[in-house]
Amino acid sequence: MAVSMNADSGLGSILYRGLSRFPMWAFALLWLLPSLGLFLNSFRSRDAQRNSGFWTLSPNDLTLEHYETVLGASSVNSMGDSLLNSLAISIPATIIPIAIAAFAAYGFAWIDFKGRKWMFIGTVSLMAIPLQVALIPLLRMYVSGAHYTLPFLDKTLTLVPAWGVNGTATAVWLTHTGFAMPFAIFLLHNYISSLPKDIFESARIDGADHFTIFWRLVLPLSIPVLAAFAIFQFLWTWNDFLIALTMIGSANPDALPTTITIANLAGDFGRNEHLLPAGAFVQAFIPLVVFFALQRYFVRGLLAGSVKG
Amino acid sequence: MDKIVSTFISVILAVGVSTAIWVGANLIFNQSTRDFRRFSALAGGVVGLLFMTVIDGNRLVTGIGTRPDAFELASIHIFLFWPLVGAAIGAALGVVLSNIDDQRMRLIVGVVAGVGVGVLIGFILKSRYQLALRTNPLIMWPLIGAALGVGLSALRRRNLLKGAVTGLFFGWLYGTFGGGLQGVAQANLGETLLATVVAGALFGGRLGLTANPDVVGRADIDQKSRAWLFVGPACAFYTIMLILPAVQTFLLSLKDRDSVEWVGLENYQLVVQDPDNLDTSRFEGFFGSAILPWVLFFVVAGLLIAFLLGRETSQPLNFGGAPIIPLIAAGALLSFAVFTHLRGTIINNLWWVVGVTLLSTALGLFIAKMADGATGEAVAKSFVFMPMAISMVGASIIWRLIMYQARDISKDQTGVFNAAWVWLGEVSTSQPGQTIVGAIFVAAALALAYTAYRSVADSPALAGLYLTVAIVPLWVAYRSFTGGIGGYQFTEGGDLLARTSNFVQDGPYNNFWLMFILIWSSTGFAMVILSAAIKAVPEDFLEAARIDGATDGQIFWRITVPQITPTIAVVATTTMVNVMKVFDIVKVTTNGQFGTQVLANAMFQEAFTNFNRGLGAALAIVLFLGVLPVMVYNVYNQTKEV
Repeated sequence: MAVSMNADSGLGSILYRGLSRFPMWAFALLWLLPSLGLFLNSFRSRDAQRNSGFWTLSPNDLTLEHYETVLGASSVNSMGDSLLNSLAISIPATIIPIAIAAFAAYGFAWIDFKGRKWMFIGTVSLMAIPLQVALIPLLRMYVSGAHYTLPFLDKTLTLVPAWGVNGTATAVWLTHTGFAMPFAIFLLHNYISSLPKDIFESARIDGADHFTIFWRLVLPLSIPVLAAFAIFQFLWTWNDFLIALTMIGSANPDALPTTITIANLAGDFGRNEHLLPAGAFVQAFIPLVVFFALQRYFVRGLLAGSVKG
Repeated sequence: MDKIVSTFISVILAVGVSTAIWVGANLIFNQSTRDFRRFSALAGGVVGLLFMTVIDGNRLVTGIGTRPDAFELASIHIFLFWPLVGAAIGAALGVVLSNIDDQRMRLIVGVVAGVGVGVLIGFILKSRYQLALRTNPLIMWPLIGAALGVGLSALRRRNLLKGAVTGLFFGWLYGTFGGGLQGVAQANLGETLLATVVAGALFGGRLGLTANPDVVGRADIDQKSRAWLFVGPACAFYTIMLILPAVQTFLLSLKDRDSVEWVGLENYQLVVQDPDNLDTSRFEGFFGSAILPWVLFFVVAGLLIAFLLGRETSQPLNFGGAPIIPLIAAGALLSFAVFTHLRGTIINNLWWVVGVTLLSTALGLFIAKMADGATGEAVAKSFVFMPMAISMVGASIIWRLIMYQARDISKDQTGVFNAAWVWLGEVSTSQPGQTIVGAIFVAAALALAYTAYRSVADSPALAGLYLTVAIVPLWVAYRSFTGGIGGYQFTEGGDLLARTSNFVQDGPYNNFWLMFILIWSSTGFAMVILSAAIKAVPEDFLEAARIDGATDGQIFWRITVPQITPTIAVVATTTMVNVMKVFDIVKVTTNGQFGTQVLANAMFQEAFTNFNRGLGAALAIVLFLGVLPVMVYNVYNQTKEV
């Protein structure tokens, strides 16, 4: 048992130390390999990609052609429009839920009202509802509006008219906003409810109302958690496939976000397979930049959402 | 480009207007405790404005001029006239009522004002919306309303008269405008006036019955209004986008494909009876599975290590640490053996849940522990974490293209897995190669065994892991001496068999290769959270254990793991919920073909490709029922904390 305590030199120990670090690096490099392969392949010519693996990289094969096709304005396979479409979805779908959830989190944390506890529990439990459950009726509402037939009278009220949002970015970000609520409230509530009670009490004594407290105290103090949620939500909406496919999918080919565009490239009987690495890298570029630049906030948000205390 | 600009403009407008409304509402309710007269003037004005805007906006009343189809600045007075009149009346009534404290006087003022508004609306209502009243609803609905009002007030121990008047008001509206006939020849101004005037009188009377609130009452208004202003918008969003659609989906699942006829549980029957969803016919094969001997091997290995450890601590069996790992391997392999002999969408989903949850949590814990305090921790962790930023669509494309791609064996491989597979086959079936590969893998196994021996004092668990991993090179060495491994293998007859493996299409293991894409992308999540939990274990505990002479392994398995168990549960449940909903990966790689269908993709296909709304809804509800146990567990944990 004492072997490892004193024998710090010698071949055995070097081997041991090397091998005990080996798993971490083997694992990390294995996890990096697919992305690295994609990145290298995106610079290789069509023929090179089709006939040999990315590890046979040679300077003769390198080309920027695929990026020119994918980013070029004129080409059929251009992703320029869908990048803008993705932004038109992700930006409102990030900003609007933050505002609404911040109000609610403050309300649940610091305003006394009847049934507060149960309403909060109900809200949080909605987190686990799979969004598939809501898709069919939501799409119907976007296409033909929402109507309600008055019970016992044959009159139909139109609650939401058919306002033509089907197939637009608006339908997608509205849906994202609704689906994001439970998690956003949960995340922000964890943080806002842990702010020290004293500051609220002294503000109340000074005559501040809830609105002033929220605006002047809570919002500035909550910047870290707001940033965390913003990154989380931005990545989620940018990378979303299911909601966009349902709400825009075939209804409006001009409004497709990047995820659907690259999925379509992939599904095209392999004709455009050589463009895929570049396309996938362009699609992942913005989230990767956001992710690495703001990783600290993102990790903090993940932790606040999952680990209490 | 234009449509993007217009989208952003409309978003900015919507956000701006909503913010203005929200802030304005807050400012108005601020007045309830400061200056009640101002508050009731403002509140009355806003209510009047909103009411008339809705009525005028729906073109129910005659305006003061011809209204253009689209808004234009020149005719703004036509748009603003009735809303402003409404605001003025509301504000005036608010001021008057807040100045009168005498109960009888308030009632009279309220009724008179209500009658006045009723007459006004009755006269300006367009003739095509005039009413022909019918006796039955006119009597029935106000009575039902009053009864409901009284009942609710009695339940809440409030004033019965006020409840009755409120109920009468709504019942009257329902009986007249709901039950009456519009757009028929018998409709006339007289009956319309009756409807509006009585409604107005009831509403005004109800206002008059309420006394001006005292200080406590005003504080109460302030408090309650604030609760609704802050919590309301979020509740509205998730009610409209989540709760109501979920209820509607449940109702749709009981109807036929076009949501016309009620069909009871027929859709659910279809889901369960379809052999594509649940096929147990091949289960006998399970008992002959080639995996079972391996399961037995790992169980025996786990028990043996437990026995050896137990001798040191004078227990019959000691499961702390090392034995865990072979036993987990045995469990994972056993689930493989089971799931490869059951087929169908539901089974696939279960397999995903077991496989991905188990592996990504275990791998996340493994890398979190390995990296904890090591040189290069941040770099290694960010490599594992990075796939989280990549979309599932992107991840699927990456794995299909870079890792799983298969070409004919006569050509150069472009996918990493097949390249390694073919290379291994080539060397292990040719002479010097066979010996060299065999020797290298024997050496690797020996090195791992030596590492296990050296680390058994520090961490029996790691030693167990190294030993378990050492099986792999040992097996490769064994195969390379006895007929080859990988793309080239000798059959029993001595022929050389050469083929690549199509990871995405060759069932049933293609399910596992698809799962691995999700494991790749969700291990980072498990790692980040578990790593933070490991670092949050109080240093005192670890220090105390070290002073008592505990080894690293004992500290990890006896202190760290119990401390982070709640976190492991959080990671596992979160992963489970996400896995249950898996869609993107299957949609992009196989679209459910080759026996890889999962519930979410089946639901999408039924609802949006085959347009069978009933079956799609039923599949969505099945998915929901699958998530439900986890949801109950999560809610239970939340209620404990609140």
